[in-house]
Amino acid sequence: MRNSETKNDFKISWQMFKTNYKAFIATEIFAILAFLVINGMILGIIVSIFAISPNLTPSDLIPSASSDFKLTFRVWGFFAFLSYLIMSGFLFCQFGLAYDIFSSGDMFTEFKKAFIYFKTNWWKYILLTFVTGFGFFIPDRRMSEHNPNPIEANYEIFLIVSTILRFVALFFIVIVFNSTLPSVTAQRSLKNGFIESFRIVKKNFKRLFRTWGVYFLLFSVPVLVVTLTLFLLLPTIQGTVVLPILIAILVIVYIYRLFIGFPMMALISTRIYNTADFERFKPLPKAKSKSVETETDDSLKEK
Amino acid sequence: MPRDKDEKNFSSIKEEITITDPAAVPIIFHQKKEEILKLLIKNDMTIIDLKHRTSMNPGTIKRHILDLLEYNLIFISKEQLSEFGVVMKFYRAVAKRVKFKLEWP
Repeated sequence: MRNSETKNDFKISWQMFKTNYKAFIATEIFAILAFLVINGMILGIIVSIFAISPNLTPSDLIPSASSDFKLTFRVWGFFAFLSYLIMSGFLFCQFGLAYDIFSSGDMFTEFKKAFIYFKTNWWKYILLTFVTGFGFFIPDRRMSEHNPNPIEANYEIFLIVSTILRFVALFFIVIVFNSTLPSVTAQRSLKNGFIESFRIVKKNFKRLFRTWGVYFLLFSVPVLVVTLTLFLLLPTIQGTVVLPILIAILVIVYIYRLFIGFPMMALISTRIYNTADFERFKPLPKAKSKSVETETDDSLKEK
Repeated sequence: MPRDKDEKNFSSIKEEITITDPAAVPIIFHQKKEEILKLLIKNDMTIIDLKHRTSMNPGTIKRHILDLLEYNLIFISKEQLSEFGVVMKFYRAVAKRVKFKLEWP
């Protein structure tokens, strides 16, 4: 019974993704474009500041040529951080699209609805990026040191272990906090979102563990494996044909994760929110009896 | 068999309504809205059901539905959670027949 819940989470979410993929893909493309445009604007401002400042030169923006590596690292760190927030804010609008499909009653969504959800929930979505995905973003302390020796064995082991630990931590972060996103979209309250998320975890931990475990195997583990392979083989494959092949594979798994993995996360999460047994602030419509078959259910099955 | 189903559902809506708002006339006689309204006279349907019965996309159907709701020609007959965890909103025509009573000036 419980295994079938996980199977249904994926099956139904995949059916919904197939019928609404245009809205999800368009939202992601828009998020990437917004990320590039805003980054371009900020880069222009920062280059101007570096050019005007008497103590700094534009070459200080390039880590290998910088006279103040820590400052350069902070500037790029700020960039990466801001980009992450903008990207996540828009990507989390996909939870609004998933809400349209699973909870609005209309069972479909459109790209333009992403802007409506961004307008009403943008600050909540951006705040939730700190909770739901911040593990991705803790920079390694050693990266801030000038010229770390890349062939130092301890350094390599440290990076591999810390990457794997952060990956495992992220898995548990997703289990505990991912339900805040469909809850905030439905309730429009950050506080209620956290309370409902904890209630879901408390009563449905096994289902969450199983469903997000399968999700991580399908969408996150490929990225981790290819990244670690590339990192480990890099000294031996430089100048060979293996390097561009591995880089191409890495790009493909990132695209796969972005364009299929993220929408699936929003849809699965919203389905779990709708079907999980827990005390809700705002009740859903009553579940219909399984014995009563309607045209709508038949058409869902046919898909 | 479908006739029985239709007749059963007929009983839940009014026999007739009279419209006095001239703005509702073009809404009813709009080809696509009329097609949707005729289907909703027979049965409660979701937007996805209507998509399968017509050649329209869900976004277009939704916009026609909103217009029909605005002029009280249809209503949300029920909302329920399917066994798949999807909330389904069903729409229905207000009446089987519509009469117009317009005066000018």
